[in-house]
Amino acid sequence: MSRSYTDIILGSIADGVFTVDREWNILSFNRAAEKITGVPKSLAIGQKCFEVFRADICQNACALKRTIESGKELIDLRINILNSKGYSVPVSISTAVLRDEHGLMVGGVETFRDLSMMERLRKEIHHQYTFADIISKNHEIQKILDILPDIAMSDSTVLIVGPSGSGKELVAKAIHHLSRRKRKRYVAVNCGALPDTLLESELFGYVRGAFTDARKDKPGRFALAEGGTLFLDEIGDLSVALQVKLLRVLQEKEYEPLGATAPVKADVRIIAATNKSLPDLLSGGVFREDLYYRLNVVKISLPPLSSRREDIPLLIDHFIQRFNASKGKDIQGVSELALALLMRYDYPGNVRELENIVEHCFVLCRGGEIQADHLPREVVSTRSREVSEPMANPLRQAEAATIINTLQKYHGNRRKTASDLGLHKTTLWRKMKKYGITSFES
Amino acid sequence: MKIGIPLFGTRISPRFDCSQTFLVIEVEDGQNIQKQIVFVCESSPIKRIRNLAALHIDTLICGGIDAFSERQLYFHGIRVFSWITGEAEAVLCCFLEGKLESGMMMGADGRCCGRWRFRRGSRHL
Repeated sequence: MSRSYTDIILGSIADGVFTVDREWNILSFNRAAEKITGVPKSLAIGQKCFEVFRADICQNACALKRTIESGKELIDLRINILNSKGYSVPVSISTAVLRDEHGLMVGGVETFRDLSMMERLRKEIHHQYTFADIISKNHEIQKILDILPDIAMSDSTVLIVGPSGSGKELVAKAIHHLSRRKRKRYVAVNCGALPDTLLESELFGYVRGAFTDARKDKPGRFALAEGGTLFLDEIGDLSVALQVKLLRVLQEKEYEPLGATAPVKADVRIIAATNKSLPDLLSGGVFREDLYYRLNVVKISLPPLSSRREDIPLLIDHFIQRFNASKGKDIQGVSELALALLMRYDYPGNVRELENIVEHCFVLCRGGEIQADHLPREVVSTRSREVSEPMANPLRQAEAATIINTLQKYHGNRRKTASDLGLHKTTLWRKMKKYGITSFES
Repeated sequence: MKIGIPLFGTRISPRFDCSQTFLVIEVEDGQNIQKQIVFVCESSPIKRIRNLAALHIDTLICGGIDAFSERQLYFHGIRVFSWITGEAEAVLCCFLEGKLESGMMMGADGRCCGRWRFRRGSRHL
């Protein structure tokens, strides 16, 4: 078969294919390999395969090396690679020896298949989100991420507060998957979704005969989460009666299923969340003080999206990558005008609302970039935020956000801020004046 | 100034999160005053970066790096030159001459022979 037929065939398949010589230099790189790695063929050819492919096994357990040394093929090995955008891409690889017309080994060939969609579905089904799924460069969020492993390993009860859609459950899942309990279940309950009577049986379960229609024992969420983590969302909506029962679990590490005659031991880590102000509920007599202090051992406060606008472009990029994988589209990004409108919007629904907006755009956008026409009406027509002329440009907005973030990091110290940003201090002063960043806490 | 370079043999490691061996160089007035090899065995990126911060590294020169790690490094005040490929010593010389930029591909002769996709001011920062 001629070389041009081979090129046509390799160019038409969905799997990435590349070949290397015995010095690991890339000899060929097909179109799918370009797409999955994000590296153009023109850059890849002649480079070391490990500097293009960037697999997690390259340094310690290279599959091609094993194949070349042993002469044996490897089929369907699951690994992850780092693409040119810095995203980890799960792939399945197969390797074989490359021989010339005389049967002499001249190198190796590797094929790989993108498993992103499968991995994403598996993650959603099994709630296996990690800290890496918390997308933010905001200083406050980075501070939380920095201490997350310590919080996770401590096994202490955690209270996460933040507005609706700010990522409370994502943080809870990340804590579970960083903890010693990660091999056990993560179970979530929305305390505001069910009436009290149902919620009690849902949480603690019931025994046969506890009430009419209780024909057999039913384990509650505490039993299902045994050894693992129980996430109690909307904890502020819990009735006083149930608060007492929850307090008992936290204090005595035991509970009673409905109709049971003896308590059951509980080995469950509690992570609670609320978008309400629990101190306000305390003073209103709606929330028990003793329960509040039991829950408030470690408190994580998540800011609203409107307080971390520098994350909006990152989140948009993240959601575009996710929806491209799940919906089989190839949306490239957002236009400058669409981004300016998205940066201006206030997001009362926070990150969840932004995700919905991007998904809305995916329905309307057939390819290329998301345009302003694809945005929901409330984003386009909002007048809720005054945007000064210098801030209207998205690049300027990002620059202002970076300056503010860095000033926060150095507690208002302009000399250190200027040094970090690679600016002369007078340049920094000029930019601060331009964006109206005048007063800052030292 | 203290510089950290994750290694793969004598080359810059292709992935920051997969290298256990770091070349740590202490530089004063543009001159190497101390070099050491440090082993960082943490698999968790947060702990790995904390270990680097504990070594008082203020500049990291690395190959491929995920966005999460790059943001965490920035949070710890560590300046990052990323997506660099080539021999570690040649890259270090280029950095000390003030010529290093993110995304540079260093050839065998120690000169820049191309650029990867990322430059300084990567959108992940």
